[in-house]
Amino acid sequence: MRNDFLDVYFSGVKGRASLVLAMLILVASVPFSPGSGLTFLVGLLMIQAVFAISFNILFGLTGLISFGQAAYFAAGAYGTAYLMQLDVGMPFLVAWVLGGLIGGVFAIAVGLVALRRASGIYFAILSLALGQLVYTVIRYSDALGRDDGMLGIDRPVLNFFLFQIDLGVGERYFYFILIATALLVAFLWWVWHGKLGRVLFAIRQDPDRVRFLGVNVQRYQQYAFVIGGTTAALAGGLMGPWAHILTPELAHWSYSALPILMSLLGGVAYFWGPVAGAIVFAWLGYITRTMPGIQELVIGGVLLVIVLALPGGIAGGAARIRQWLRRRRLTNEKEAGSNA
Amino acid sequence: MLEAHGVGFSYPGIRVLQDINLTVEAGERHAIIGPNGAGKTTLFKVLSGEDIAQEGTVTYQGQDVTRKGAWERVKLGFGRTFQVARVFPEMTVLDNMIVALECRQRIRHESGGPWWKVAAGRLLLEEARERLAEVRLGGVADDEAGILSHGDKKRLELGLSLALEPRILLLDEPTAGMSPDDRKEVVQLLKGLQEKRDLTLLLTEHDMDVVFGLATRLTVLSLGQILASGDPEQVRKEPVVREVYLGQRH
Repeated sequence: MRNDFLDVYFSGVKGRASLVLAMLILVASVPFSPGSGLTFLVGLLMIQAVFAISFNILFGLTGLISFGQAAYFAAGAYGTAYLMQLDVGMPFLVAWVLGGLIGGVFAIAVGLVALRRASGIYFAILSLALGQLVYTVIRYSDALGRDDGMLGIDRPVLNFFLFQIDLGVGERYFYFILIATALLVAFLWWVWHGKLGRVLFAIRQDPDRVRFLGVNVQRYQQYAFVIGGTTAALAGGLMGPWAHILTPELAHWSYSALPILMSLLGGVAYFWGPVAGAIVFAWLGYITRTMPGIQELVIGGVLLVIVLALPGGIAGGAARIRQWLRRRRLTNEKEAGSNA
Repeated sequence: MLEAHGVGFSYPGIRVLQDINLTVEAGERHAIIGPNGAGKTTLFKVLSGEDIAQEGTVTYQGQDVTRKGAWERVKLGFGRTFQVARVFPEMTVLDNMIVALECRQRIRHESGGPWWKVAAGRLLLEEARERLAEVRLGGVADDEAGILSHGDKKRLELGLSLALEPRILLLDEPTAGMSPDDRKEVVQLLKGLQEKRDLTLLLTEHDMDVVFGLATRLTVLSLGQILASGDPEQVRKEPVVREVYLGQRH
């Protein structure tokens, strides 16, 4: 389960590092593939993978069911795009970070209300309702384009004073997304596997026991909320310039279902679970893109089969296969030993 | 050390505790006994901060803690175990202990090594292993806590509570569901720990061998009220106690 954090440190560091490196190289080579459709989808996939992990920090790690995660994503997306379009010459990186902070501040506010007053399913419903608030605000704000959305969002120019990088040239923005999401994933990995992650994981299993270890449980749930909200907003902030358009659907509750499905599909007990889920999700969307009408049916059917066949998600299934292989190797070695 | 004055507590429609006056002196091994439904667990909740007393006050070392939550009382030196042992089932036994020790670091504002480090520091790991050995769980450190036997879970929970180095430890039926041999062992373990660490123990218990083998002071609770409190042998002789509680069993 999650208890592999000692494992990570003491063995297999090289193996894991080379796996991550291989993934980075694979993703980085995508723009060289023929046709630009795939490049766009992979860029979107990276953003959504961070979105899914940000949700799973709340759900899989801390045990809080947030049905309003899209609100933070949209707050970051719209916040960043709005600040970019203001004619004050704000550098893009500043707009992006501020967009993330908007999500973080919103998460603090929601957490203060929802964590104090509610638990379990009430918490889920409350987070849903507060999330829908963002949807409504966007739909009635002229500055945010109402139902039509914000259009014509350009790829930004990064200004480092000594030199400039125009991300509008070629596929440079794709590589910017790659670097930005890699940094966000690294941060979330650190949260998940570190001291903070350990106590959050303990809170998910038994909050009362953690209280009797002298921890203000509500405050730590609030930390998880802020981390999840801020990283979701930072992922959202990358959206505008990538798609050139933002629509209120990003804040709709149905968009909140996306990271939930990805996490359940991939395995909520594992850090990489939501990433695996996001990849399968994107792949299903890609291969069914020419089947209008039955697309949802195919995707839904495949998800149902996977969730029923693999209760621990894809990552859970992979872990079971690994265990089985290890056991078989051990018995083989034992047999070899007794034969000799 | 820990005092309750006129404590009362009701669940909707039922009065569970009524005018409880109780004093736990430092260094005592104080046992609370009483028939099922007497209010032992509720009294425990009120004393430990899991629930807040509706009437009366609870003081700890002269400080009013009536309205303080569980985690705040733990910071002052409370420790608590539950009737059905509560540990973190999806973590290894060792990780359970690491989490407890890291909670102590937070309470004491100690650094656990460089902030960016993911794994627990070497010193903390060593202490975790020592503490597991102390409650005789050294051999199962790498097992998942969820698959431990009942008795092992109880000892792990005790170990987690002790890791915070409490000054008063509240044990809700520390030997519930154990075999007679395990019970004797727990009594020896608790006695040893209490003497070594200058602990005050407050416990509820059903097993009379455990009670009379361990307690230096005995309080009898019945129908939410205290019937008698004092030296175990004297309490045992009181007619009202024999009638209400001991008489039913012996």
